[in-house]
Amino acid sequence: MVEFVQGLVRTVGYRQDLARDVASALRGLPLTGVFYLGYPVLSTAGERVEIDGLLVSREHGVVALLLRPTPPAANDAARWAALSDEQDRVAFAVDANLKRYDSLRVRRDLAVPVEVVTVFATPPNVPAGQAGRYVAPDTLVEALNDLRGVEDQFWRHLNAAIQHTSMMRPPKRRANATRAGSRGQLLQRIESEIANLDEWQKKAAIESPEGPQRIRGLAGSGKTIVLAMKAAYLHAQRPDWKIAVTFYSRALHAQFASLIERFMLENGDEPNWENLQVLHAWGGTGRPGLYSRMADAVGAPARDFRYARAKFGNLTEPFAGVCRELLEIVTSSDDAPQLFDAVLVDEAQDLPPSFLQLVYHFTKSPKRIVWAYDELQRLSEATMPSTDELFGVAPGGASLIDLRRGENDPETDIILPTCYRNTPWALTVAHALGIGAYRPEGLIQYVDESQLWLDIGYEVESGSLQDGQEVALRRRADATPRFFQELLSPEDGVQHKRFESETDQAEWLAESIETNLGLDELDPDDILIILPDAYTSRRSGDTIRNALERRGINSHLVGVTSSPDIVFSRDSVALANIYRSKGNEAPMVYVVNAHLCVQGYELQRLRNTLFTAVTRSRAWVRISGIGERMQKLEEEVQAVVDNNYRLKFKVPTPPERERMKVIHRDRTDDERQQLEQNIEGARRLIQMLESGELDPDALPGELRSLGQVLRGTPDGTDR
Amino acid sequence: MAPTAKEQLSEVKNLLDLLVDRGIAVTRTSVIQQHMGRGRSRITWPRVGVEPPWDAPAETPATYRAWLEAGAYSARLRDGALLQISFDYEDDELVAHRLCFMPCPYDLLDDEIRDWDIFEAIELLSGSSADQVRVAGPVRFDFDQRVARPGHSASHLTLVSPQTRIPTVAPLSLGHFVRFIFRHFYPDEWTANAFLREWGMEYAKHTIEVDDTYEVHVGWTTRF
Repeated sequence: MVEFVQGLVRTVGYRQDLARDVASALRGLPLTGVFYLGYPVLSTAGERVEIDGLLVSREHGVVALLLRPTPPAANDAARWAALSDEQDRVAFAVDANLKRYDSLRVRRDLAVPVEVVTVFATPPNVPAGQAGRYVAPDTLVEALNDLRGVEDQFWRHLNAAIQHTSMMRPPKRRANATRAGSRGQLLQRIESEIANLDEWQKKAAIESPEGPQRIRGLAGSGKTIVLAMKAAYLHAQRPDWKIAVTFYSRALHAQFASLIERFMLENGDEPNWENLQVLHAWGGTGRPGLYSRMADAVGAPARDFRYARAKFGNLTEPFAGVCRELLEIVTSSDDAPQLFDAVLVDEAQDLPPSFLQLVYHFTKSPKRIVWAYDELQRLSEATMPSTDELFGVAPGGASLIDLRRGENDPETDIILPTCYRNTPWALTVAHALGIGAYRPEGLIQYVDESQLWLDIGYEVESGSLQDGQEVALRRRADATPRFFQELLSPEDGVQHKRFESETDQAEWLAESIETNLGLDELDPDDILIILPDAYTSRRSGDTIRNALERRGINSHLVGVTSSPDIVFSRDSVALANIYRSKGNEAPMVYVVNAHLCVQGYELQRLRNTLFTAVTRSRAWVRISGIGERMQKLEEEVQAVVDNNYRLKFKVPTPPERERMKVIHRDRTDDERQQLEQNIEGARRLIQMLESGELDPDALPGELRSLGQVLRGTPDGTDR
Repeated sequence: MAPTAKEQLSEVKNLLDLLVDRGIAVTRTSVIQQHMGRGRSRITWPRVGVEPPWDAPAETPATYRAWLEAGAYSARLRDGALLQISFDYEDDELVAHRLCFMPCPYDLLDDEIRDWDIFEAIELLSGSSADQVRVAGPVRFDFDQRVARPGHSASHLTLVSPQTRIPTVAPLSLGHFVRFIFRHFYPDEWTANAFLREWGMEYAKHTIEVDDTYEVHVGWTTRF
């Protein structure tokens, strides 16, 4: 069956009706391929060539469709000549575009057939001898039957070329990977496999509803690439539009600019950065952000970091605070200038609702806001906040953002289920550790809706996802790229190791990395060492760096010894704390000092840290730590292995989920301080009881039995 | 006796480790021996990220930031100052060095931002009024026998302006540099840390031209 991808259709009116008729004619045909509406947009000799539809099928090759209202009279030679010229221009543009790819040529000729068909709203009366193909929707299929198909060896390359993913070819040639079966060679093969967008990524990149769109997926499902492609596509289709691409992590700026430019260059076009703006959400000194643009637009002061930290406190609150402040100004005056025709938001899970609400106000109707959201980045939260929670509601309570759509309308809520970054084994281990699936004391956190497991690529192997029931989940075969199973193994994919001291750990790490850079034929920028605890990362980092240095291996601590914007370096191995690691990935990841995430009173945060760290790995992950706590972690990891990489747990009931949230939640600074004081108080109490300085009987009634337990057995005898 | 390249590398590493260990330096980069062919090698810091423009004026905040972001330094002190330590050898003979102390143009010890991530602090402070930028350029001791000519002594001190070439009597040893910087710019650390006061000095052959000795220059006496 042919897939449908509905991009932006030029203008309203006849073209949209005609497009619907064409889609109806094609729907249900037994073709292998894709029908793109409003895609691609090509340039040749500086001139835009607009194609209303493109059918790419094994059976009929590449067919460009031009939608026109009324056919000319048979004797209107001038108009027929113009139509023929138009078809020639389009054919040439498509032919020239595809001929750039070596994989689609045989000697000097294009190896895939290209045709152009003009579809009129009513049946045309084509003059005899008229060059070209001219049909109405009801005769389109018949015209297609005349066309020859695509040979097997060209089919995959054709799809890559059409989707512009050939620009995603691996940037590293890996010339040093010469030994058969080395990790370097395996990586070469893995990287070359990620060339085609899958069905969901295609839809997400090109489908353009007349309104908001949500794109959800696991980390590593390709959201950033999809958004970049979408930005390039919208900009090419609507060069006059003001489009903003925004995100949370600074490092994404360079990535977006580079991807967008590459996608557009594939079409022989260049971005106009005046109209297509890549802006960090907040911005910084000398670097305007989307927030500061919006503040400037209403004459409000754009608050900086120092103001925000002083006024709103800790790490996550400052930006939310300044956005709330600006939002109050905007909503009180109710005349925010409509700055943007479309806004694309990456990492929406890291941005406060007040920011998204600002985006809503500054975007023109019909509010083409596309936001990409990492599913399960915080394992305890709901699928994500509802659109009402994110964007707010109108004064009467009506939702401002509505993702409902008609049956054949473009998708408004897309889930990308396949994780291309992590092996299925690393992902399952990460989820298991994150929720505490195999923790003897029970689950630490759980999603609000069990359906989410299915959305992100798991399936129920046994049991049920009903509350209170036992269940076993496994990764679905279609949510796992084939190449992981073909090229890697679970035993090598995830490993864990326990040490008695940080020095031992550092020595082992240095030795392992020495092997990675030697025998394994990896490069320094293929490796990422993650230190989960930001507070101790510098000291632990120094121990590790010394061990590496003794083996002649250069290293840097991201955001400490060098810029936070540059994580990887060709000649130096990166160490990063968890905050600097976010948004990055590496083929070989070492999660060190993992024992620091095993237990504590903010267990959700600790386990989320572990989850994030493990899911930075593209092929291999090594989890190491010290002492008894690491032993507990090893037992949990081993349980995943022993259960053949299944997640087995009892689905918690709503009261149980609430209790988990209370016990293991993140604390505010004040709560943390209070808790630490209480712990210190309890420690002191125990000391006094154990030393005999305090008699349990001296404690108030409700504490007496506790005192007896702390001192000895409940009957008061010593242990 | 002058250290060999390998000995120099060890000495630099030892110094940097101690500076970090005692909390004088917040962090340090790796120390490597870069082999440059024809028997020449350089004891220096490794390259991470984009190489900063070495021909840019050294006395500007932009240069400081470029060096910081590129990790183009050996150690970063608590106040944000950078130490650059680099020695060139040809078959174990010292032929060049770059010993640079780059004060931080911003007040990183200000109470409000003292505990911030340095890059966040710099970003904020670099947008502040120019009045708040400190006027203190780098202090750099360079030695390179190959570029010696009248008016450009083989070993010299550059400070205040990049054009200055105040002759020094000889190339500096690491000990001379460390003692000079900490004794004069960090008197508290100098007083509190015996290892700084006890760091040994090696005395190299004089390279200063006779004519330069009649003018103001930087010199020291060999202690036997």
